[in-house]
Amino acid sequence: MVSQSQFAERVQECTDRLTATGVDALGALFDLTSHRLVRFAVAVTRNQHDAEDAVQTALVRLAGKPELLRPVGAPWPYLLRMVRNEALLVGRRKQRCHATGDLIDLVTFCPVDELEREECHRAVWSALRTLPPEQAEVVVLKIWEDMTFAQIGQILETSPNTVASRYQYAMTRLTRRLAGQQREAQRG
Amino acid sequence: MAKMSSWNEPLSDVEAMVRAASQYVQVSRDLRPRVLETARTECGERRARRRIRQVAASLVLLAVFITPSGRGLGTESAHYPTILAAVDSRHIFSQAEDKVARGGDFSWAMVEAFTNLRREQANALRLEL
Repeated sequence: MVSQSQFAERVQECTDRLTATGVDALGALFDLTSHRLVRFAVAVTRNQHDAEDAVQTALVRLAGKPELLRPVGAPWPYLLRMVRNEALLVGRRKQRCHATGDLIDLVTFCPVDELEREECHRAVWSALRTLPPEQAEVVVLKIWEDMTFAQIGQILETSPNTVASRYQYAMTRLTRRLAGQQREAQRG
Repeated sequence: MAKMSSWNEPLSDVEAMVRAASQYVQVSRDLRPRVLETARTECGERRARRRIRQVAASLVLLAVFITPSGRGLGTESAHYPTILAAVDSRHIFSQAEDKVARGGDFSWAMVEAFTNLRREQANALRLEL
């Protein structure tokens, strides 16, 4: 498992290469970041196609103007913010509504040794989709990206206290929802 | 408002469940080629546009530098600057102001002053030629 700081360093290396050599270095950046960016964008857009559109637009823009990263100290949070902005734009344009928590659009994968946990993963993703996007994105950044509330606040351009508050509400809702699903599963 | 210190506790069960589901959603297979192809196409187009702009700018510069020297070779063209020196916006404005002072509309006074000026220039050119 790569730590957050190691990952940020690798992103920095990739973006340096992108600035130096141009679009040919985009593949490495894509391989390193696409999964994290897509799952973050899915939390914002609640739709994988829209999320991938947002990631594509952000990465293509970055490849065209790598100088955008020159004044930026940490490229990874900047990249997340770019994707978030694109995801919000895509969401506003398409005005999709996915409050039901269905996972039809998602491209999923579960290793053979984790098949018994697939239902649990589905339940988590389904519950995440029922959260408001501003809470879901905090959960993604906090748990999957191992970020502090201050770092998340910088990406979302809001105060750490607001972020902490959103996280608390999100976890309360997730707990309630997942417990309910577990009860249903036991009954069934 | 949530107290931030309360979230430094060990991961709860729900947090552990969420963490375990991090790899469940995958990127579509076609996203990588799509992104790389679009980026290459856009970079190529941008490079082509930049090249066209550079060529156009150098052509304009070339035209600007060549035209005065070409005119300088001719004998007639040397007179044009002295004739056209009569085009002085302050002169037109002062004429128009005179007309307005005598009573009249400023815009019409400007039109008349400009027409007079063009007539004077035409006469001057006719005399020169």
